[in-house]
Amino acid sequence: MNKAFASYHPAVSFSFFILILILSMLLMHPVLVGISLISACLFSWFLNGLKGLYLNFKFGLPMFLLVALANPLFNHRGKTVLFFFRDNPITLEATIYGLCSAASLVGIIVWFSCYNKVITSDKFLYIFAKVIPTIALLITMSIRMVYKLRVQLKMITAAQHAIGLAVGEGQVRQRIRRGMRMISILLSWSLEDGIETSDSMKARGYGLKNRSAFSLFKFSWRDGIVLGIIAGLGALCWAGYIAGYGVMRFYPALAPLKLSPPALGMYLCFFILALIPSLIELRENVKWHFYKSAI
Amino acid sequence: MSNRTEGKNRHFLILRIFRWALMITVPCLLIFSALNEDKNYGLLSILLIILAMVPFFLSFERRKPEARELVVIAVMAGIAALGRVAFAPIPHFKPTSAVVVITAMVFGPEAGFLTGAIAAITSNLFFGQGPWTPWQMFCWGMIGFAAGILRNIGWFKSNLRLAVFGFLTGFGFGWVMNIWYVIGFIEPITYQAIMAAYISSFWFDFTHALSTLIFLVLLARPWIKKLERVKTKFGILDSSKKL
Repeated sequence: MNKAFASYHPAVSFSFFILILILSMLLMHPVLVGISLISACLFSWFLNGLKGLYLNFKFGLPMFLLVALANPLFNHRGKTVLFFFRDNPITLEATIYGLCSAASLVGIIVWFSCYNKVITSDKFLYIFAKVIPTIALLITMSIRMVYKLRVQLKMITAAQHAIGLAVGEGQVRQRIRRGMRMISILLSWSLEDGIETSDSMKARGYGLKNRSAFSLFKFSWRDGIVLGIIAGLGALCWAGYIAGYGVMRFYPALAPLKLSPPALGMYLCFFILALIPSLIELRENVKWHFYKSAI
Repeated sequence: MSNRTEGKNRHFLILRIFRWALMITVPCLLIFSALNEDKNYGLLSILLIILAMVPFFLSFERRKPEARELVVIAVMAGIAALGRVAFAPIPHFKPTSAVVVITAMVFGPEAGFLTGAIAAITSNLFFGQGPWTPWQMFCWGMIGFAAGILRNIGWFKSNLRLAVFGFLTGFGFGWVMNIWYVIGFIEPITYQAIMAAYISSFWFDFTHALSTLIFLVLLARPWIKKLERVKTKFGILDSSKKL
């Protein structure tokens, strides 16, 4: 379940993520940053459940604090002085800017975690196989290698333990030597293994002309419609950004929140854009619920 | 049958249009946004860093490398990434730079760059991708590239020089990453803010430098021996003649 957005054509999901990531970095406005963060968390909740969201927060919170605190401590611009910290003025404007950029950063991290869940290696290869085939393959192989190395390391640990050379026992010197021995075994094993893999690749015709990558993706009407909606909303958001509604003035004094119709329209467009994947998931969940209850 | 090929052609056409549209619009929009009034340097810097890495990737792509080269780089990048994950409990203490340097010392600057850049992407799958990923790719890639070039001019003859280089890369990595931090999150950028960022990062950079030194001293000689053996045995990535 919860794979509705991922079942769309890679072009759709990939352009959505590119667009939302760029916009999240570009738009420095409390309202838009809040929208980005909340909808990213919502989508992450749909994809990974509460546990995934908790992991995001565990990672994101220290980063949030670091960035949010750094700006007011390093910067003393702004009209409204809140208090003095070691003879340095801490201003309201710098604090708000710090909070804003920290929230934007955490939003981007959460969007990236969703990206990792939706754009799987095969989709990544599919998108980049025609432009940078070798690099795309290299990245995919190396990601796969990390998991493989982990398994191999576990096996080595078990074998070393069985012959009485466990890393967790003995003096420090001995432990270090045993640890080194394990990594060294891992290196030769994985390299020799890798050579076998590459020979097998070559035997199957890697690098020959007219070889194509296998894929099961089809661009259907529903992909076209969603891609069109994403492009349209993205263009509207961009227009709003150019017109100056996407960025708030922080210095020397906070600008009042714009609430004119075009500004509200821009907020709405960005809100809908950021919610698209969650809406797709929600629609699928509701549908599934009704199918189940109809049985 | 003809219907099927037609469908396939249409399909490729859509993908091609999509790709070109993406490749052209994204950089144009970003450059435009930088020229716009609000001066979003953070995003522009990421774009420039990516552009700086393009020649390295493209020259590798053009060369049509053998499967064996690919696998060796993938394994080394995997080890570098796994090392970073394994030592995650000790902040900023990581063997990644050391592994990248060792790879470059055996297989040359190009392999060093690729190992470093790809180790950054791969390990960030565990630490969280973010706007800093291209910067880390650039830093580790450049560490590998520099190590490869220094090897080619015969600089790594003594262990001491290797250790010094390892120690300096730790600081170099941190200092370049500080630039990103200042550009991305400090507004307005002042001299004091830059100083404060560099002073507060000193101990993190020092830990990174120290860990690189320790791992290089411990690992370099035995690993280089091993990798050289694999290199001669299977005849891979012998780029000693090239720069």
